[in-house]
Order: sequence, then C-alpha cells, then structure tokens
Amino acid sequence: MYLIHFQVKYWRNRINCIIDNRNDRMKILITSICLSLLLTAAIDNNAISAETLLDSEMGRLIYISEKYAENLRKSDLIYQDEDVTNYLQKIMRKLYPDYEDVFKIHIYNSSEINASATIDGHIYVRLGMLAKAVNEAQIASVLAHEGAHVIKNHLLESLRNQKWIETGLGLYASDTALAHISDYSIELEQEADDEGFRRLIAAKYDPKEAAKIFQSMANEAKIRHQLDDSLYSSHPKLLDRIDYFAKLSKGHSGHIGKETYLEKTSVIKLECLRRNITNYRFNSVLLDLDTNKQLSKLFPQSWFYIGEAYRQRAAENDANNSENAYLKAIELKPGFAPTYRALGILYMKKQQHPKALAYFDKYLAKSPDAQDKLYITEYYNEIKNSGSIQ
Amino acid sequence: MNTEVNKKSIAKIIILLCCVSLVACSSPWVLVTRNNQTLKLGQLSLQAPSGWVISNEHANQYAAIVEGEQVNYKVDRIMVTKNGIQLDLIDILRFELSEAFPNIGETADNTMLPSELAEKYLAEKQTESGHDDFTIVKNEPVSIALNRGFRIHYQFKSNEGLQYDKLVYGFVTTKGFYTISFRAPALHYFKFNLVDFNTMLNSIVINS
Repeated sequence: MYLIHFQVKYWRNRINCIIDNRNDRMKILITSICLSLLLTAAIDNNAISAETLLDSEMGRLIYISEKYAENLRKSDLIYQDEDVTNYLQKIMRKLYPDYEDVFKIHIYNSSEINASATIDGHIYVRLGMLAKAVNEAQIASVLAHEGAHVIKNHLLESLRNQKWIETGLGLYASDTALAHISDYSIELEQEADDEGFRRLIAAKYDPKEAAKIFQSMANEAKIRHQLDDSLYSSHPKLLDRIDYFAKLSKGHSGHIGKETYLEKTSVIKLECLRRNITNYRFNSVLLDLDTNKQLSKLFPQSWFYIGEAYRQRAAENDANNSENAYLKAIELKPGFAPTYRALGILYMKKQQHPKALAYFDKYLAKSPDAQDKLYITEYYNEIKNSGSIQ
Repeated sequence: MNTEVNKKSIAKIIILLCCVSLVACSSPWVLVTRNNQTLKLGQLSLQAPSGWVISNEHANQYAAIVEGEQVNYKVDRIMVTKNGIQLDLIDILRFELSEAFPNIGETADNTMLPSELAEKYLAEKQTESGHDDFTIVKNEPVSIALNRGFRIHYQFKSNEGLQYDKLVYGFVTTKGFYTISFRAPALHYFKFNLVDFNTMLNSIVINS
C-alpha cells in the first residue's frame, strides 16, 4: 500500500516536471530512446520486469488523470463550493489518515447519482450523490469505497483485465474513460466494499448507513428504470450489496452526522431538486422529499417543488395534491413568486378565473421581470377578454 | 473478336449506368431552384427558400444523445440547409402526441398552454448532449397560422465549443406536436440567413 502511495507521488512529481518544462521533456525523450535502444540490444524483451511495465502504465494513467483534472478546473464542470469541498476533504482524511496527501475531493457539477476516482486519488463526487445522501455516514460510505479503489490500484488492474493496455487499445481510449472508469469487475467492487467497510468502522462511522445509501440509489434506479444499466449497477448487483452491508454492519454502530450534513449540503440539495423539476424527474423529487422530510422544514419553497412534481406527474388526485402543496408553500414562504404563477395556471385550467387572475396579479407584482412574463400577461388578458369576469 | 469486344463494352456501359442510377436514387439532397416550392409535412405546408437544399436523409428519424446513448425516434421531418447543416439548418419536425417529448417521456395534447409546451420542450432539449452553456435569450407566446404556440430563442455550445443560436417555434394540433426551428453558428450565419427562415415561416399554412 505504501509502495503504491510512494509511486503515485513520485510519478505525479515527475510528470508535473515534464509538463512544465519542454526542454526537459525533449531531454527525457532523447534519453528514453537511447536507453530503450541500449536495453533492447542488451536484454531480451521478456526479461523486462512486471514492475517496470507497471511503472510506465501507471505513469501514463497519472498523466491522463492530472490532465483531466486540469481541464475540469478550467471548465465549469466543477461545482464551486469551498465549504462543502473542505468538509468532504475532512471526512476523507478521517477515513484515510494514512493517505493524507493522496486524496483530492472535487464536486462534479452533475445531477447523476455517482462518484468516481482516478488512479492518483482525485475523487469526483456528483452533486446528485451529495443530494441523495442524508447524513455524513452515508457520504463517508461512498468516499471510503472510492478511496479503496485508489489505494488498491483497481483502475490499472481493471484496465489490464480488460486487456486495454496490453493490446494498446488504451492509447486510443478517451482521457475521461481512462482517467476514471466506473465499471469495475464484481471482485474489485467487493474488495472496495470490504476495505470501505473497514475504514468506516475505523473512523467510527455507523456502517449501517452504507446499506441505506445503496438502498436509496436502488430506489432511484427503480424509478428511472435503470436498475441494470447504470447508477452503480456494475457494482455487485446493488440489491445483493445492500444485503451484504446489512449483514456486515449488524451489531455495529457509530457516528451518523445528520444535522451537520444537512446544514452543509442543503443548498446543493435544493439545487438538485430544482434541476430534477426542470428535467421532469418528478418521481425523483417526490422520493427525495419523502426520504428527507427535514429539507422541506429547512426550505419552505420545497413545497413549491412538491407541487410542481405532482403537477408534472398528473396522476389521479395529483391536481389536488399539487394545489395543497402550493398553498402550503405560500403559507410558509409568501415571498416566493413562482408559487403564485403555478396557482394561477392551476386555477385557470380549472376555469376558476377570479382566483387565477388574483394569483397572476400577485406573480407579476412580485416578479415584474419574470422570464415568462409575456405568457402570464397573455393568459391574464385572455381571461379578462373572455367575459367570464365581470 | 469484335463481337466479344462489343459485349464487354456494353457490359461496362450497363454497369456504369447502374452505378450512376444508384447514386442518383440515393441522393438525399434536392436543390430548391425556384420560389414557391411547397413543402408538406403532416398538416403543414410551407414555401422553401430558393437556393437552399432540402434533405430527405433523415426524413423519418430524430436522433438524440440521452445520458450518453444515441436514441432514434420515429418522426416526420424535413431538413433544409443552404451551406451545410452545421452552418445553417431549418428543421421541421412532427412528433406523435404520445411521443412528443421522448427524452423526458412526456406527451402533448391540444389542451396544453403554450408555456407548458415551452417548458417541456426546454426540459427535453436540456437532456440532450451537445447543448452545453444553454442560455435562453427569449421565450414568448406566439400565434402560428392561428395556432397558439411558443417561440424560444436560445444559445448553446456544441461539443466542439462552437456557439450556436437557435430559434424554435412550436405548437400542437390534434394530429401532432410540430416544431419549426432555425439553427446556425452565432457568428455571421445566424443573422445572415434569418431572413430566409422568417420568409419561410410566414408562408406556413396548417391544413385541418
């Protein structure tokens, strides 16, 4: 383990030097060619040790990982929240005190429920994953698992098993694919789970929460009809994994950290709710707010999202559920303008024109520069001109 | 000897003719050489701009990349371009009401308000890849040949980082959800060819 740690740091430094200095790169290239020629002449190719090959392939993967991280930093794909990033980094240090400098946490700006790791310890946690977890122990389970992939060198092993490196296919695969793959074999996932579990116990987290976050992911996969396609499904059948963790954690207990986690991630959770509504993932919204009832207490406008989710789903009784949720949102957060628009449209469709006009009026007053002002004004005028209002 | 040479020549000519006719049959592009050339799609008829080219290549197919995978949907479609589809594209589509917004699994019906249609359209587009930095410039209700609908002007960046402008009109009838859009790189092409698109749009007739 320490050997790998050392190798990672060694190669990271060497590659940074190479990137930074072109003259050095030229010298190294020429030296490498000369050395290769000498070696070829001196020894049989088969005599090159596995360690040499490991070094060179590892070096290349670290180079790709660093390049990938650098590109991400320049793009807007990294969600900038220093406070949450530092908080996650602190959790990682608790889980892996013996690898303090190796791991670097990034929040990836995507509502996917996933996390991944590169060979040299960059951990990319998706916003969707942070929103899905309801406490610190749950997110620690995910981080512990990803960290295990790094310290056990699973990426290299996995690529080798897939014969990418030996056949040279790795040369043509995309940097993203090589930087952090997420389809490890069942054996490697199992190994990462075991190491992750050990780390959770050592850091005094409640390991029972691991089964719960996987259960949440399974529920999400079910409503997205993706149980066999993605969302960690490459991990040894998600449901088997839940059982495995439930059995392992029997008799254990530990730190859960619900309040702190919610406080740190509530803005992210709200952002994911908004994105899910925008993308018509109404079932995800209802599921998230059902499993995390504290969110609607913390953010009264969550009731607006509940109303929106019912409106989008439009199943039996959803019109009433939607109306009740909007009214609750207005009661708790009267300054939140979108709720008035939503109620206006709802009453307009129910032919309750006076109510519709009243809510449209309030919406336009509260949000005079709304992006959909032209639509609402048109509906308003349409009702006015229809003669249904005296 | 002569007869054999003749036979060979005739065979060569026949093969050549076959090749030419095959190439001609499969040609997906038709140049609009005169004004008032009428295009028909479902209940729609409209005039194609002269000097543009009509493509039948994707006549019944709408491909979207959703969550990393290409998904093909069956639609009625006419594509019209002047300089190539990457530089300017007028895209006319008719979706079945039951598959109006396939990426988000949503349907359409003719009781929907224009803002509801626009909301679903935007949700649909934002699930597709190649629509980075999605910015709505304007979103407003319009009347298209006496049908209530939406007009959305938005900007996005392609996977290659090229900024595009797209103007889309959408409306629903009892027989389908229609979108008529014009997309071109923001630099030069969008403004340059917008006039032709607007002329085409003004010629729309919706047959019941």
